[in-house]
Amino acid sequence: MKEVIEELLRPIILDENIPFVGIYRVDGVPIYIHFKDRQVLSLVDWLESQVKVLINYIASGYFKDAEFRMAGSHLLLSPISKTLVLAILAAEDASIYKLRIDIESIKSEFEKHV
Amino acid sequence: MFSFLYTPYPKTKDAIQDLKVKLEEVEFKPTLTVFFLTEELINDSEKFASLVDCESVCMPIEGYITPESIWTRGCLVLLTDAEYELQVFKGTPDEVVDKMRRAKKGRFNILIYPLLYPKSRLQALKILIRLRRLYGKYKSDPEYVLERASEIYQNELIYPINKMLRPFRDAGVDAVSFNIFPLRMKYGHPIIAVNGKKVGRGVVVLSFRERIPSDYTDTLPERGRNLEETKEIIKHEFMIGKEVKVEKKGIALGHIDGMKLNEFLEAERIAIAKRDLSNDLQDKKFLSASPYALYFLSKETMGASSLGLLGYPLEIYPSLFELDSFMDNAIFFAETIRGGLNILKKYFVDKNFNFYAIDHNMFLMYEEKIHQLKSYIPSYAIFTSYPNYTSHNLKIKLMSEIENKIYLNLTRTTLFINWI
Repeated sequence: MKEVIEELLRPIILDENIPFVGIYRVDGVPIYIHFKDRQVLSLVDWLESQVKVLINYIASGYFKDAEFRMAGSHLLLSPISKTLVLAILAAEDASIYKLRIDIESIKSEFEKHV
Repeated sequence: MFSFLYTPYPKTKDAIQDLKVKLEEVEFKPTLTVFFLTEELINDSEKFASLVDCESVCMPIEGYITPESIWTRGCLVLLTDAEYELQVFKGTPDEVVDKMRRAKKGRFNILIYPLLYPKSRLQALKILIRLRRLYGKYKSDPEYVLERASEIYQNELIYPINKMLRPFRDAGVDAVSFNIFPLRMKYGHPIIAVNGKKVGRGVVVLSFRERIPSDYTDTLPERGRNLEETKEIIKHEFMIGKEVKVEKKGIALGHIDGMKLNEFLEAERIAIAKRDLSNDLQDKKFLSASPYALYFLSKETMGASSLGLLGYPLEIYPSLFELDSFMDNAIFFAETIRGGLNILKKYFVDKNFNFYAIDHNMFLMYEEKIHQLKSYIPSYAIFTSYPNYTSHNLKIKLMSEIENKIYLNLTRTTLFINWI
């Protein structure tokens, strides 16, 4: 499973402007985490404390997705199945509208596997 | 024969590794490879060119569609064994046009060139200073100032699209214009490479011996029978739609309703980012798109073409096409597409082409909703800067036919090609 996830996320993981990619279950438990820099770990900690509530909103269809604009980075949360949510942290230099387009492609690839 | 390959990997090393495997499965010997490269991959055009044993052209794109997905990273590759001739023309627009008039043309031709090419910060600053000094004489002799400014813009920076297409229109052949202007610009870009070598400021022409079927749409209603009808159609299609008086010559745009561009936008209560053009080009923060534009009305055909208005403090604004055949009245408008993406369906379905080149402004307009386009496009497509066209085969009265058989707009255009 890890290999499949890694392969599907590879176009995003290889992007140097994306320091963190994670997949969370709707109960907030991370099932896959990839990070390039230990500095993002404090953010991951915070994310795990917040993500449960947000993911519930997303899973229940109340939120379509969620985005946080932070100083110097941008966090995108987007459902990829009924039970999984994709979390991507993008650096300031990343093109967010392009990232949103690519996330849609990754979601449709995921749908073929789940 | 032809074939498309793609890789969604954003790093050159991974992209090349992936393409190497895919290239082994190609069952014919290509004579030409076109690499459509996203983002930073274009800097490594030499490495991509070395993947193939034939001539190659690398050009930057914003994204691409495959039968499986839409990506804004990695690259799309076209391989063909068509008979063609590859020529590169360098110089000012007048020099290039002269060379292209004398050159051998195919029945189907593709032009690939940087629409605007700021070589360096020093060059940009010199141009800005020359234009500012020139503007000092605007009140006393606006015609002379605009003529000189147009020469400066053309000799240093811009290949006007209609000018580039005329040699092919006059020769009665089909030509596609990939006038490259990336959404994020910086000095020394856009990079176009032939056989891995960067062309710089120059026009690459691929002339195909056989006629390759092609078509074009501006995704707009047909133009009116007279200018009043065309004006009404445009005003109905877009928000705002206010008529203004413009002072223009060549590719230089002076005052709009008697005001400098920035003053005009401020008078229209449009917020303008107070940014420095030379710094933005240095930091790759120069965004080449704007929701505000002028629609120019053609005296020759009753058609119309738009020019986006970027809020930089330029006293004389550059157009990306020659303005002499247009009226002195233009329509100021804000870009929307009534009916959203669904309206595009009628222009795309049942086209039966295997390659589409779509205006990249669609990305900014629709972001991730652009995925809806996939249901109308069963094959491959690239997102590039508003491709334009000349052909003697189009029968309908397209809005963007602004000179006889020259189809040009700086937004919403799409080209269709059927590789054989």
